[in-house]
Amino acid sequence: MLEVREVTKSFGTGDRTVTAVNNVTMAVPDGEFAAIVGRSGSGKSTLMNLLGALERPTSGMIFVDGQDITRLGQGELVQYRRRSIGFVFQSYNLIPNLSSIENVMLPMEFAGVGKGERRRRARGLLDQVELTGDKQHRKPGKLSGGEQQRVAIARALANSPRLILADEPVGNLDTRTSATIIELLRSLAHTQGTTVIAVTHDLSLTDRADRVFRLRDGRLQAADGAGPAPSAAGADARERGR
Amino acid sequence: MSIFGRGIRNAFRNVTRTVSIAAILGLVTGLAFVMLVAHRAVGEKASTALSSVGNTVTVGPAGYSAGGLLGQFLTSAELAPIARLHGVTGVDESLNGQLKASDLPPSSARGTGKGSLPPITSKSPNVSRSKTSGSGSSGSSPNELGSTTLKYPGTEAFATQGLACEPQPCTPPINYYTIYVAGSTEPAAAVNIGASRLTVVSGHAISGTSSADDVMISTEMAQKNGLKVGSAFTAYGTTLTVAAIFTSDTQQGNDTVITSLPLLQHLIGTDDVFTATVTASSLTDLAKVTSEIEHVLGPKASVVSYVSDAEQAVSSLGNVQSIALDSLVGALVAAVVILFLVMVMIVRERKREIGIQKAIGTPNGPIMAQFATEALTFTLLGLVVGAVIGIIAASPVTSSLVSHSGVSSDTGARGLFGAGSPVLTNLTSINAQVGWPVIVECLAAAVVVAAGASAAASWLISRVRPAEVLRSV
Repeated sequence: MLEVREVTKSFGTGDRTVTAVNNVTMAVPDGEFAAIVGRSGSGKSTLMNLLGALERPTSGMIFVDGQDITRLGQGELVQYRRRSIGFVFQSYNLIPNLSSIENVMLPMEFAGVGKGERRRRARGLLDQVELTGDKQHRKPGKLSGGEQQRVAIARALANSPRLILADEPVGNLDTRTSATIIELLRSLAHTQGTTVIAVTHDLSLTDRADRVFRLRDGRLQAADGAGPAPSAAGADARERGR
Repeated sequence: MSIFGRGIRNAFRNVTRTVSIAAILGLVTGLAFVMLVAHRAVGEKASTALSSVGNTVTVGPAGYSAGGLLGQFLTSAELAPIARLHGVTGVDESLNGQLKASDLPPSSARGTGKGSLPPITSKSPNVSRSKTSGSGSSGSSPNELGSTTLKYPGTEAFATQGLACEPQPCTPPINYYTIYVAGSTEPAAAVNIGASRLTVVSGHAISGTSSADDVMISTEMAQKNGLKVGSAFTAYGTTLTVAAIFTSDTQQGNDTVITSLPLLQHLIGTDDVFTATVTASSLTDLAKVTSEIEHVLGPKASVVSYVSDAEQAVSSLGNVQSIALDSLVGALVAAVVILFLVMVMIVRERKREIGIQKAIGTPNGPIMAQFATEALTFTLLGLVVGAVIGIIAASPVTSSLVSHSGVSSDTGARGLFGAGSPVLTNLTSINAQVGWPVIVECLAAAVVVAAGASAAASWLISRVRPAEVLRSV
């Protein structure tokens, strides 16, 4: 369960203060595929950074499975990101000098997973996102955008996180590939119990989301329960995955 | 792939850039390499030159240092206070004599300048004790050859080698078949017979303070005369016993009968001492000891030390060493600056990657280690290039530095009789070779350079905030 309570994030820019996220309160149950929508500058990315422990809120609390991550120390935050969060970015952000499988193995390296196990799991995750064969050994530059995003999703899943945060995951992809990636994320949420929160402009994604949060000027306007409620099976699957 | 593997792979990510960095670092490292080799080689040469001079001073009669004799010979009694001076660890007094060999050469070979003299070194001069010396000593003077039953040990081939003597025949006529006698308080010291090595091969070395009629002769002389330890022969009208047989590395040494100082003084009938070699406790004490000896003996003695001349001679080498050290430090600083700028550029270029790694939970330490590995890889590549440059250029550059520094190839003290000191010759002949110690020092320096450059990179890495980096994506 992800719970955000009265979170505010302000930045000082010169002599004035900008409040990017203003008193946001929201909750996303485990195994749900949620979307955050809003115009550019509405505070979506800042909210994502707060959820991903990349930034600390100015005020408010963020609970992940009952733990307030705003109170974690710097080292604990790194560990939290490593074990509990998976990031998927619009521009994939893979390490260009590493092959697909090495990119997926990277987060596991510091989670205490042995080298053989890292490779085995990475291969399995890439198979899961349907990137098979020699493509697993290609560097990102030799893959299409959709394939790179699959690698990014596999990397995000590497340490079996509670939460996947996807920032415009289909922003750079064609319609067909977008649909595939959206289904992949939705499937992960529902079959493995991983909570997926995606920031997007894409209507095809919001249409498939279980819940949609609308941000405007840093404030949460509405939370639409557009999709079906998270399945019990998804939550069970997630428990089995741990 | 491990952190270090990624660091090494990243170093070769852009081959053109890597080659450029290796080339630039190689040039700088090569300069450092060459300067390190030059610094060590020149330092070793200077140290060897100074230590070769030894921590000794030679005390002789007035005028001795200029190659003449302006006063009286010194006596053991006059030299006695020297042994009590602070910083003096030993005094080796010596006196030289000559003997006429019993088998004189054919008259046609004598005094014609066709033969050759046994080499005479400054340490064992065949000095005439002329009437004008003013010596008050009684008895026969050393230049008047004593008689002996000994045969000259040299070979015929040696005696017929060319003689550099102009005009010929040499004046005064030279006796080719002189046997030298060296009496000293340290009979086993090679320097007293003009040699650098003296090894007793049979019997036991005689005591330098004993008055017994025991002597040491060379293997050559023993063979020529059919003598062995315990045999006797006559010299100065006295029967002398062979107590030991030795070998030396010079013909003059092998032509010398070694006695104790009291025995030779007794045989010649004098209490004179020709020279005394005073040993100081250390090289640093030498100047003080020299000064005190001069104070004790006054103008009647000539005190000779090569040290000041040696120090003057090697001062130019010291300048070369300073230049080499300055250049070495400069090259290392340049290497750090170059690598620092390279790493700053690389970190800035890969800021996004660093942000991503941080975002997915990689701690700062491993990221820093990865970049430090990359910096070390660049440094080691530069070191390889620099080592090649160093191996090729070290010797010629060192020679060039030395030859342009004012060090003369025959620089040295005037020494005795105006001769150059043998230990200070060939100062420009420096063996500047790249050895393992240099390579190990360069490796250590490479690690320091990489660490210095990585420190800056690490500081930049620690300041990368993933949220800012990802926001700008």
